Amino acid sequence: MTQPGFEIEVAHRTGGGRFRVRCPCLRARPDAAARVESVLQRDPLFRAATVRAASGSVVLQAGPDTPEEQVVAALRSALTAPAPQHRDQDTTPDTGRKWHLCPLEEVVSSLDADTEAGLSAEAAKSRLARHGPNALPKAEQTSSLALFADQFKSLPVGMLLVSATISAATGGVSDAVATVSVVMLNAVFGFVTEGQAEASIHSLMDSSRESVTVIRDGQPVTLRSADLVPGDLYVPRPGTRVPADARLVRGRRLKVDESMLTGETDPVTKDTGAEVAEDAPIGARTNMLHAGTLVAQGEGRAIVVATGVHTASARIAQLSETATRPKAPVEAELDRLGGRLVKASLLACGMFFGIGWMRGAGLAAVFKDALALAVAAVPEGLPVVATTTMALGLRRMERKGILVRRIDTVESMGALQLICLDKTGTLTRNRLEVVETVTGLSRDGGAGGAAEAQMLRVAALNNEATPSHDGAQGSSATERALMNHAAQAGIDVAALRGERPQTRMIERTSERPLMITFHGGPGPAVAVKGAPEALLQRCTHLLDGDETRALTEADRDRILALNDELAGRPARVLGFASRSSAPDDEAPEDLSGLTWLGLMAMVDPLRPGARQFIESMHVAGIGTVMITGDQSATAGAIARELNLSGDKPLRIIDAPELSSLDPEVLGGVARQAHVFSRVSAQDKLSIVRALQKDGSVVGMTGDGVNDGPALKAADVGIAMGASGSALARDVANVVIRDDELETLSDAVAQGRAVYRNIRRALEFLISTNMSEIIVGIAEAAHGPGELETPMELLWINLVSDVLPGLGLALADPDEDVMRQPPRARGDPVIPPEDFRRMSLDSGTIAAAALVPHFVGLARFGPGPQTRGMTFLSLSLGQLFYTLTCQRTDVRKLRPDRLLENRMLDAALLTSVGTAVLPFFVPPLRRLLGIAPLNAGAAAISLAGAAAPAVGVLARRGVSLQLETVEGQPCETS
Amino acid sequence: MRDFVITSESLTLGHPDKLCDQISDAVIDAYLAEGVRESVIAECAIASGVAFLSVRSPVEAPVDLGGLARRVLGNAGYGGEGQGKAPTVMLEMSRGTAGGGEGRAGVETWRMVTAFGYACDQTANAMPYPVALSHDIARRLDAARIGGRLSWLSPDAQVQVAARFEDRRPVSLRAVAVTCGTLHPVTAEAAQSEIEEVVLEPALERCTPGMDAETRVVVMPSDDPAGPERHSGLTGRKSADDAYGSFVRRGGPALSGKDPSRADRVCVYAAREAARAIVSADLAREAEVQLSYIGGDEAPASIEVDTYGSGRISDQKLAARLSEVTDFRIGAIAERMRLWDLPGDRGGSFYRRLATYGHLGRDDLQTPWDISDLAHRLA
Repeated sequence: MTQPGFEIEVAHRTGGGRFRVRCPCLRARPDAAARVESVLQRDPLFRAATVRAASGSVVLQAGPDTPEEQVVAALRSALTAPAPQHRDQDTTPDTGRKWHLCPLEEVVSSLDADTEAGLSAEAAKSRLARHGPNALPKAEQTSSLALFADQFKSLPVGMLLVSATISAATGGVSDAVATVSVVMLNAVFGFVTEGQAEASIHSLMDSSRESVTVIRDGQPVTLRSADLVPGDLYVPRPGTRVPADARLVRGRRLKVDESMLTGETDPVTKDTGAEVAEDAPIGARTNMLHAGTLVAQGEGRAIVVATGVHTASARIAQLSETATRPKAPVEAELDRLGGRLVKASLLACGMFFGIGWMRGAGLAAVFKDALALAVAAVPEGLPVVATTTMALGLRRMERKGILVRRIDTVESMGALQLICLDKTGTLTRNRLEVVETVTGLSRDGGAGGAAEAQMLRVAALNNEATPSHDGAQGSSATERALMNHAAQAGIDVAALRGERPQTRMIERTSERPLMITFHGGPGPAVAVKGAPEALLQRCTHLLDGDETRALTEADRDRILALNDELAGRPARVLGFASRSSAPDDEAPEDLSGLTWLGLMAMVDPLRPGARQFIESMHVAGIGTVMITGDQSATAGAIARELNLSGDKPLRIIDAPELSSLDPEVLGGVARQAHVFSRVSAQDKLSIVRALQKDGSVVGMTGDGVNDGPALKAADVGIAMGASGSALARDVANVVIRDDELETLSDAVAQGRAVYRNIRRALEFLISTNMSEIIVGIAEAAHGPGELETPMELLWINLVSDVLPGLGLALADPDEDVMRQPPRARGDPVIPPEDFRRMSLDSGTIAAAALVPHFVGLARFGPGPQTRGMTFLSLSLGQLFYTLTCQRTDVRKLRPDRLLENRMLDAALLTSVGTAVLPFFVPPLRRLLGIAPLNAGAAAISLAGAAAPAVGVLARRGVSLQLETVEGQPCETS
Repeated sequence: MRDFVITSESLTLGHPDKLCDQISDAVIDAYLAEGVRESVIAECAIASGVAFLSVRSPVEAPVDLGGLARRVLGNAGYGGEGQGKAPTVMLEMSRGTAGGGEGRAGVETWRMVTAFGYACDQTANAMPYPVALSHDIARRLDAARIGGRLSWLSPDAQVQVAARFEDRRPVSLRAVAVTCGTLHPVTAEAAQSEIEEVVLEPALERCTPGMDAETRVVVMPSDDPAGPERHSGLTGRKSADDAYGSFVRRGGPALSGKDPSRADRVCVYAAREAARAIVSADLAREAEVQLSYIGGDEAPASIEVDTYGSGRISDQKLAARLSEVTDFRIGAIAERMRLWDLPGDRGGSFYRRLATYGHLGRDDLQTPWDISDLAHRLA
């Protein structure tokens, strides 16, 4: 094997100083990649450096003004540098450093920290300057300039600019100015709408203002989480988010919910004493607190070891960046369509040039006329209508609580073919709830009575959650569910806990899955809850109804059977017991002689609208896939409740190690599945990719940090805004602010309406522009000097393109929008059958305009009067025709509801005014080269203008009649 | 004279077809052990290391089927602790009755079934010599692999036996062939000598007919571990191995993956019980019992016995005796043999064990069709 040279190629750089560089010599050489990465991470030039051996690429975050040569030079020296031997004491902590393995003393000394007094204010200040704020850099925040420049990147705009240049060169300065004005108008329009969208997204996502408590100069201080620095002594508070990665110094009953990082919903106990294995995954590093996780309970102190981009969750975020988002369907189609339009207009110009040249006209005159045609051919409204339709759709969604990160996502949302739903958090609220309590020996008889009351009191007392006026706070979902249930059953939890203070608590362990509390005050001194089987073993009595009696073997069997029944719901079941006196001699861990009270079953209930949501997706032809970490039986029961498979057999893919499956095989089976069970969060990316294999437009919902890569890879990544993690919101392109499924369904309807509206506007624009080309060619072919002036055509386009197009684009969703199947990716934005209608209509409009043209020719000869007649009939004809474009299928047009779209009506009124304005304003008349008309000529032109719309309505009547004759029912919606 | 050579085969635990049978029957065990008394049909296929499991039952799965399938695979040596990646299971769960229900006493059958049962005095468990020997060797292969005595042997192996019969009695062992996957490379010679020493010699030691000078022994180790990653499997594809190894007539349907309401499973057991009773009661040296059911009737339309001329009384009389002392109605069979309850009685695993080394002649499992008092009633 030959050693490849150190080639370096800068693939991409952003204004923010982010570089992506290709180094083929690192490809498939993980050792070398790791070495180069560690060298780069020590380089003060870079704030972050990632080397990926899989692709041989290097991603570097430098200062915004760092010159490219400097970056390349640094990288080149890193490639040749030997592996570093010793860690430099005074540099940024290594991102990959295994803090969980270091002895605590080493952590403290290497960070120059203090486990009692914390940092001094000055030290903190200088560290903040050195390490930067504790915040994630905003992912690909597009700069204003880049956003504005993007607006000029479409082909039609390019053609217009070329035509303006030629106009200017051939002396048509006013033409050039007018053309450029149109282009600028478009650009500003697009820039403003997109810019507003970006701004509203970012306002939602900023979480760096959360406050944290640290010890500085020996005093607790509350500061913004952005101001946290490595070495800070952090004080975890229950219910708050851990702001940075920190090594635990001491902890008391500290539990952290790491579900957003690991998917594991039970809070993890954090402990300084526990041994951590070298290869422990993030979830098993019990001496570490990780940024983004939630403190569930307890207290402690921890030394911050990594902030901002160096935290574990940020590294997962960088993994997210490797997943790429496919292009939105309509973007690709607009590109294609734009290309075709350019070709068509070049062809028309060429034909025209040929005709003029054969007639022997002067080249300059022919060139000017050809230019006029080019202007006619380009639908000026096209880019602005598409962009604005999506932006307005976006605005409308925002009002409904749907935030859309990228403008084209609105449209992807409408093209959605398959949606992957994360069970926990999307279909459920990720909130446990007590659904059944059983006392005594049967599921229905035991309601009320002393046993029930006693069990509720035990549930309230033997509980680590904190009561508050809006429900239980802190601790785990289980504890909160139990306390809330007790409160709902009428127990004043706070008062009870005051009256019966807890004197001692024995936590549950894996060997003894029971939580035991001892209480003062009147009533049973010992309260116990835990796994029913283990608890039952320690019970000798049973509180059955109102009386206490000895527990028999038959009772035990019956209680265990009840437990099995409840567990089979499926639900999480806990047993409750009490004892009147505290033990005096026996060890409390071996407590026995308890009185059995009963069982409580908890579930994470489905959201109220979940089943309807699934059904609405199915009616809309969108496939649904549920992803869950549950085992297959539980997943199957929920899938049935949701009716995920419709009337088909339910298919579940049950895979603890999905990513190790051959992607080809997964791609083959994934489309058949309704449920993926026992899936770890990391595997969600494999699922999304597998589903995308056949070109489907795939949506994915998620709320955890570890959902990031899958959300990013999905065509539509949907984050739940209220409960989701900041990272999920960061990478998702849709955020459902209220977490409601109905809102999600709304978003799809809006997305579809947007696409339909874009299609209608496009069809309208193309038909009318085609009619202008036909008129132009016919006039040019008929005789010299007959052709309309370029300014006339640009004016017609201006009045008949942008506003009516926008009016069409603002229509509400059709009534049947969620009863249609989604369109297939790769379907042309305008289907071939629509082209037939468009040709017919543009022919009609052209013919209707040519009649006044020839009448004018006969009466006035070629000149301003004739041009005026043609101008009037062509511009108004297009505007009246707009009304009939409100349905793609003429048969669905309702003559009585032609004026239902108020925005369109207003747009048309304005446009009609603008169209006739030049007749009354002499300077405009001169610019356009037309003359005022007498009554007769105006009447003929107006008749020509009315003809196309009347023609379409007549055709609708005929086709409806034909259908009636054929005996087919028709839809008139 | 009736002289012929006949071959039979058996598969070890890890052969994909047998894995599918085991998974299907493990599902039946799980449902029945959980107290389900509705119809359950489980079918399984394995390809590219993915198990496709289709379960049809009107009741919700009482157990984690994905985990169950993985346990079976892990038990056979695939994807369990320290055996590489955990296999993916694709489940298809459909509702509606599986077309069964006829097995409950008093319920009429609609399925037409012809089942054959056979027994003979060729071996201790009244099975034909070639298939009994195949199963014995397969079982010893598994034991040797699990016991670490053949460290290179993969869980996937096939055993074939050819025996020469004279006058319908086995007189010599003509050939034994073992095809097996290997976990690490081994030469054919080494594999052959090890298998001969560890498996074949102990197996044939007390077996008649045993190895003789003419017996050809072939061991064909493959270059790879074989198993579900390499070749595909399907439930019910080895129904000859499950029964009498092609020695007698048999019905086509699979046995595994069907609950006791299915006549095509239950009647095979009933026919074997009858045939074995005839041989045990010394009424014939060998006997084939044919039970035929017509849709609509619960009792068989005919009971036919063929003793190949070895009967002490006429075949017709034997058939008549059988129908006198036995209730061959499908529901009654399931009831008598406790087919619905056996998985629960035996700690949750009964049918699954039948899915390897044959469903019949399983005296080791105390199957009610082989360990039965019918012989006494018949005598």
